[in-house]
Amino acid sequence: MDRDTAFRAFVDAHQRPLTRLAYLLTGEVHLAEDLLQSVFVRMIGRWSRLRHVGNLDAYARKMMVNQYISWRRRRSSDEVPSAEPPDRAYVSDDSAVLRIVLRQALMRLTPKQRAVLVLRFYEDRTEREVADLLGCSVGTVKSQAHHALARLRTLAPELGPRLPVLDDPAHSEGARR
Amino acid sequence: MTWLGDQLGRIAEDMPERDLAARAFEAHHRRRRNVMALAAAVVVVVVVLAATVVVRALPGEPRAAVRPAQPPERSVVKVGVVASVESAPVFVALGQGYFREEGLTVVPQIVSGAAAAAPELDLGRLDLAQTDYASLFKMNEGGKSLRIVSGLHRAAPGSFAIAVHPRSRTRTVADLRRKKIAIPNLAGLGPLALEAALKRAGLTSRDFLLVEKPYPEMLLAMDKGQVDAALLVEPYVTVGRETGRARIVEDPMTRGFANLYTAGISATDRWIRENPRTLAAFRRALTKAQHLIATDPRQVRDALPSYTKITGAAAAQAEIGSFPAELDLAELQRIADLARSHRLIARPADLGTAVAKGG
Repeated sequence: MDRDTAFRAFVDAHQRPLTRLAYLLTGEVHLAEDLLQSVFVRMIGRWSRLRHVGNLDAYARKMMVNQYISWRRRRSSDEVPSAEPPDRAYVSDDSAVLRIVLRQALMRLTPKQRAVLVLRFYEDRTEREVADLLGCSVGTVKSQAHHALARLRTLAPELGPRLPVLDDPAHSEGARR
Repeated sequence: MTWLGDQLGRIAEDMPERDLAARAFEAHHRRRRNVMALAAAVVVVVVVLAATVVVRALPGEPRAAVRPAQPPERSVVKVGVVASVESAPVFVALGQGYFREEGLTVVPQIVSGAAAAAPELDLGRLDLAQTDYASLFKMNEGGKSLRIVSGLHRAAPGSFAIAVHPRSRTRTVADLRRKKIAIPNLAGLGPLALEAALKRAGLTSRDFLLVEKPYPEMLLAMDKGQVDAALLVEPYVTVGRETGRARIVEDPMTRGFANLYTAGISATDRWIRENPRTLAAFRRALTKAQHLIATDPRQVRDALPSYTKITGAAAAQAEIGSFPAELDLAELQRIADLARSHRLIARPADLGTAVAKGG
């Protein structure tokens, strides 16, 4: 069938980055698969109308990020903060340990903060692109990123020196309107 | 790239790749079917209500309204299965589309055995899991609340084998003194039968070493000399024999262990209470597959290459045993008694609670 082949081709081409994004957002394999599957199912349902969408990849991404944020809002009660943050008595440069610390700290951010960090630093998108994907203003992206990084620094001070430093949105917002 | 971006990339690498397109199509079709079914149910209800009104208006008996069938609580069911002949009914049901007919997308996940699957059931990463009954009794004695929801397999002579590498000097079970023997999980029916065979040959449990290896890796482990012997199950017994990678020393499933029910499907008590319709749908599909196998055993041989890495030729010769759909309480009691007499469990197993209702 025409739709099925076209959809399959889309999935083959884009599944990998999309699964990874879903995983970083949800922090859990099955949730990530559920999230991505719900996006795929909705795309199949409206495939005939999607023919006119130029950038299907961005479309899927947008749907996924927003669905995820509204999901978590609805189900915020089952948000399970991962176990206690690890013991801070040691100073470690071991990158594997830092990665675990980062991972746990990430899961303690709000969904939107996490989405901003992942899109901005993992997918390496500009603030403008992130704002388009999330359907919010550039100012919101800046402040969310700022707060997210600040929160990561409080949750895991050992990550501090490695995290990127952003301009304070309070100062730069007016400059870039 | 920044340190943060780099680390996020590394975290993302933990995500396994799985083809989600097929699952998405199925979910899409199921959703459409459900909408249709709902529409049909609405029509039925309206018609029945209208008919009731008409009938009421006329002299005569009032009729009961028809209740529309409800869909299962969950559409995707993850089942932990062991890559052996025992789990064949699950794959036959998948191949025949029996689960799909019930509105279920069944996702099989290979596990090494009941002990490995139990924590996954507790965490909800698996909905159902293959188990041998001795493991289930032991885990329940240890405080779990697992229930048998369906039978899967019954061994026949030759379904299992204690095997060694063809070049090994081991000729009899008694020669296994101080040898390393591979088994799928440390506690369960397999090791029970193995230890019974070794004890019959005069060895005590301190005379040999058991090593955990999933069934599909055992032949390789013997090739590499990581273990001296293995407890194999079909189709690996046949594959090992046919490819000259294993020599069979003894069939452990004889005498007291002959023709045992070796595997069933288990779920946690909580999952069963929360998903009665899903369970009923799963059971209907599985039973259908077991009945099909009873009339056409070739189904198993055709399914084997799809989930074990064996060829059709080897599958044609494997001793597949049988796949009774109904549980036999006397047979379960026999396993419970064996488990107790070999000290796997300390108290008599509670069969009444171990079997889920309707199983």
